[in-house]
Amino acid sequence: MSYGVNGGVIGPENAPTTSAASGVWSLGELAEAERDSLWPAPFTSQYEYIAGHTFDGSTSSYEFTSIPQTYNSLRIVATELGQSSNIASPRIQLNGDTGAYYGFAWTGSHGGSITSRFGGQTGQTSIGTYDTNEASTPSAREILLDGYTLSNMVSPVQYQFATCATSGTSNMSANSAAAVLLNGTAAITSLKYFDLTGYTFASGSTIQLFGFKDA
Amino acid sequence: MEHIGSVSGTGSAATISLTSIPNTYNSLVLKGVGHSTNTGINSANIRFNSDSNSNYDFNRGGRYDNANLAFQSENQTAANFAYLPNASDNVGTMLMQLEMNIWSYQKASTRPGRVCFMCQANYHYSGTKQINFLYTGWFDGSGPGNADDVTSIQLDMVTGNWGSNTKFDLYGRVDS
Repeated sequence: MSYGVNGGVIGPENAPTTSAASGVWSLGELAEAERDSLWPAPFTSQYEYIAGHTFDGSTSSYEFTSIPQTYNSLRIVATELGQSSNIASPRIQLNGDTGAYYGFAWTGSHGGSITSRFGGQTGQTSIGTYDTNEASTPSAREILLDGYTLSNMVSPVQYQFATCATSGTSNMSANSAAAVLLNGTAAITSLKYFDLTGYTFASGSTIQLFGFKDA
Repeated sequence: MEHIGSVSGTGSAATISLTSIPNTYNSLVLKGVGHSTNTGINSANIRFNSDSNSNYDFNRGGRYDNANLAFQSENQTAANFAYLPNASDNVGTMLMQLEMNIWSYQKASTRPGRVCFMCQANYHYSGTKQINFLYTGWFDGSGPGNADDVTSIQLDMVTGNWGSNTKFDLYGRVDS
């Protein structure tokens, strides 16, 4: 991408021609380049915010599409507040794939007992639970996708989640977990986050997508 | 975090190493994906400064296929940090994902305590067959992280070689 008529590099090496002045960015172009993380090169490796959504209480899904393929890995952070009376089942679907190729495994604690769950699923994979009774303390999950740009290998999904409940203990949960879209070797370009049973995410629930980039 | 270096598999090497690690960071992060060229479920081990003395202890626990599994060992010549898929499972397309934190990697006179790590490593090869383990391990001797700074990290495939889609990145934390 270029900025301004000169294609934008700073410095005298972009020599002027009969149709273009020397390649010096305007302040506006400089701000655009910084905004788009094209210049200057970052000094540290870090997560960059890609996109996010705050739910208004009326919808039960959100999808990230056209995920940039320019990062080393992805990180998704979701926080959920409840507004009904059941334990909810947040799920993810990768690349819109509805096949019976998903698998997951959890290890941790749930309701005061050791939890270990696994299974194969169709059209989605579990990413834990949250308590739909809990309107004030959000449950949370962090999902990591390394190798998501590979087009000849299945991208693994690693996540951790904590289910908070301030009324009763049966839904409290903390787990490390993994999931996968088996046979799905394409690069991950979209990720849909939704509730399996159609519960709407309460107002203030959030999901955010970050990309990890090297300096 | 600052990027220190990367290492990739070639399909023909059982050992891949990250070298020339500066001793200026508070802690290290090793993350990426890996796979093996060999058939059968494989495990991978870590060594610091290529030290192969029997001073590594490790512990792992989590889900292995359809059962819970926990294991610990001490006085080993390397510390296990991952199980990973092989070339025959799911037509060789499956990857192990690793997120590892490494602490106290400087010598004890700089940062007291031995070098230790904690990580999560996972992979699937069918809807009901998967490994999702949490690991912790450390060097229980007088070498790396004790008398010496950790300047290199060696990742060994126990059987077979690191596949060509393997890639791990090492980072240094400057503020934690």
